[in-house]
Amino acid sequence: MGVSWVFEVHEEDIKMKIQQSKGREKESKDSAKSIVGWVEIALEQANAVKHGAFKVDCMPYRSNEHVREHIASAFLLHHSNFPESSFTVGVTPEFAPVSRLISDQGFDLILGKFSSILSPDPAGFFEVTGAEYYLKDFRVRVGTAAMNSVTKGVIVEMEYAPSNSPHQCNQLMSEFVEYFFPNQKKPKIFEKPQAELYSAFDTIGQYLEIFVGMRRRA
Amino acid sequence: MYAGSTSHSSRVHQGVQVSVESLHEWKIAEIGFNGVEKHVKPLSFSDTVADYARRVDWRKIVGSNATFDGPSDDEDEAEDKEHLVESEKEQSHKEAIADTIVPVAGPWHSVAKALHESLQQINILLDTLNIIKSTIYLNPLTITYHEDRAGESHMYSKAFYWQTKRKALSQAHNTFENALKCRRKDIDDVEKNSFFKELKKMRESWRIRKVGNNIFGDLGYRIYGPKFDTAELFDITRRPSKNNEFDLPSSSGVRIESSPSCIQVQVPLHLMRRTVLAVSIEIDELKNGEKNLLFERRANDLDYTKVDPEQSKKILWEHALKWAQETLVCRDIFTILLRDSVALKDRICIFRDDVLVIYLFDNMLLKIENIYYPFEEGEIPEVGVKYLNRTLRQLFTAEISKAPQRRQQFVLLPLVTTPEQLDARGPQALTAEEIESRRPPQTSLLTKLISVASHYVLVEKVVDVLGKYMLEYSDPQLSWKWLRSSKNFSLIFAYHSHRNYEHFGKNSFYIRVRTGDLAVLTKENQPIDCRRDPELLSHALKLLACNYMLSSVGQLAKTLAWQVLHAIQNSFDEKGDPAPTLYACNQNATRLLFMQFHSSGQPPTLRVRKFSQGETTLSNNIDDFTELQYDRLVGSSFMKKMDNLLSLLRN
Repeated sequence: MGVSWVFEVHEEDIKMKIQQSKGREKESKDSAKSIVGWVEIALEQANAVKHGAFKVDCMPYRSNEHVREHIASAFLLHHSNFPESSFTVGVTPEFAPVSRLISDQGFDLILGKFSSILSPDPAGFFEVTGAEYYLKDFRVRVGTAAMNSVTKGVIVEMEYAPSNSPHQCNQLMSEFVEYFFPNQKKPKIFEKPQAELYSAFDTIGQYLEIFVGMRRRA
Repeated sequence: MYAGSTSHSSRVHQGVQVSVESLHEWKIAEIGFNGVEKHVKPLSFSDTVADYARRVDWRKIVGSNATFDGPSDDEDEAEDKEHLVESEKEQSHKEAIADTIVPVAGPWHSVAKALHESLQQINILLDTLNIIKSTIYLNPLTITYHEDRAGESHMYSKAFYWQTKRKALSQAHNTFENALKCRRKDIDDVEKNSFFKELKKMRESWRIRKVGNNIFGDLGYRIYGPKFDTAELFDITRRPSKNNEFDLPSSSGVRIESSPSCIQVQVPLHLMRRTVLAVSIEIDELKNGEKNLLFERRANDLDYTKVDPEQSKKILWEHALKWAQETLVCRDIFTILLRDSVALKDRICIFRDDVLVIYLFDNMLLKIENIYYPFEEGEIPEVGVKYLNRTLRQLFTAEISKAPQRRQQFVLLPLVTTPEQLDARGPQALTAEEIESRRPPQTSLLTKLISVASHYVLVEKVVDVLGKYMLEYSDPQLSWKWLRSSKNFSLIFAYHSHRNYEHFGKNSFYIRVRTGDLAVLTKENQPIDCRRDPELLSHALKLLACNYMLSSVGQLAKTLAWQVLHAIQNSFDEKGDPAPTLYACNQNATRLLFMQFHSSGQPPTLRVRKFSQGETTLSNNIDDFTELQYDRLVGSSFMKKMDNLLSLLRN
């Protein structure tokens, strides 16, 4: 498992790139689609090879009224790069430690049994679908994020596969992302101390942050 | 009171006044002195009844065996006590007569009875002796005297001897008669018993089932998966006892029964042949005029097709079943190899008439052949390379012995086929790439056999090269040993040494043999890749020998106070072959020695130059050097020659 940097791509980020291209300023109604298209073209021009599709989804679970004081809400996430795993992240107050769980996909069925305490909130269901590209040691996943079938934006995940130490690949990843998407803000994972290794939860945490931001904007 | 007076003329005379009294009075038991009479009370009604009851013969009325009815619950305790007393009396009576009753002792009853009788007789004898001894009522009388009459006693004893012998013989005769009677009864059961005994023995090695009246077995060899496949069943029947085919007539005409088997088996007709699966290495070369022998048919090759089911029934079941199963196994292995060869994309495979030929590398071919022989007793030749035959069988057995699912442990988990290291792939958030890398790849039986066969061929080549090298070049001496030898990888440790000059050290190196290549690994961790060419290996060995000779001579020169001007391992000769050189000068600078070691195996070239007086510059003109003939140098070995030469030219 490598170190991943997940970020949202806005139209302004690649407007320069679009303008620098061969004069095709197509004003598409679906700007997300065009962003994805341009990103894919840029990757293919850099000799990246399309490897397949990828998908990330997030279902919020709200605690029922009668237990709201005692049991916090949670998010259940899946990522196609971790095909057999389910990630559960609890919603906690700001300075409290976050409760997190990685489990087998069977946990989804167990959560279903807790319908009297936690019930899913389909209105807040997020899904990112797109394509995965391999460029030497890098894995780039670009997809459209949709909340309840309404497109909210474009998310790109850049993964450097060989290393799992964020401190080591900080510079390299910054350069790589800078090449395609200039002026991106670095995520908190690169602020980790040297000895701390990257884990799957860091990727999921980044996705969750973006989903929460998208929901607030909506 | 009595007839009265006449004065009463008015009263009529009625009758006589009578008083009646019983004549019976109570009997007087005793009259006391005071005049009191004591009477005997007469019997009351119940006493009278009891008296009469005692006089009745109840036994006659009830019968001899019947018992009186059991006492009711309301019986008196006195009656209970009476019964107890009676039973105790009976028991003691029984005990008293116990000795006279013969006990019943099951199967040993007759023996016990005889012993009992003899015990009784002895008791009688003892009693008689006691009476004789202690009383005067019995006197023993002498009947005969024991006289030692020589002739008569001899005659007497001989007759007695004959009598006793005859009696002993008659007793033995009776015993044998009894034994024969029992044996005759057993012989009838022997056949049936021996059939079941043999069937039990068969069950130890074969799966057998009985359905209705039919007994059949399974020739299948699989541990996991379905068993009792219809095409792999054999029938079991009882061999008829008469006209036993195994009765061989001896020279005197008397029939001797060799141990016949009671069971005969009928194997499926398509398995009624003996098969050998032979794996061999063939060289792909066709010399002029020679036929292609790869797919050649042997003489009498089709004899196995003549199948007679009746004839096969005569074969011992142990052999018949073993051969039939061997045929089945060989056929299954061949089918798997054929299927794998079709799936093999990067190799040429040819199949014809039960022969499969696969291209290994260079001009080496791997030939796998199913050879059939008739279903008869007799030795069949072993064909092919023994090591490869066994390896193929071992690879096949390992595959079928692997459980397709992991065994369930005491906690009931679902039957899974994934390896254990993938169990926690969910909770450990393994990526898709990691899951794939942890799943072991499925290699086919043919791929495994090809790698084993390739390795085997290369190992044979290496051993051949080393043997030839050691015969041809004994100086410096090459020694080698196996460090590791497995199916797909072998490592040889070898070293050069100079005899009698061990203090100059050894030059050690490794020869690594894999499935597709050879390499020589030097001490400096430098691999010399020999691919699959024995010539390259031989060349590498010679080169290492040259390097070793160079370093040894350099050391020797130093010990003999020579100055080594250069010792180059990387130089080449005119042909372009590596040829290390050494250039040395003696202490007095009067002699220059130039040596070149050839990696082609030729003896080293030696050139000596003499410095003349007054010469200030060194010219490398070859004409100034005198070439020495290596073979004519004094010394039995290379180091000896060098030692002598350097010592000679030292001053």
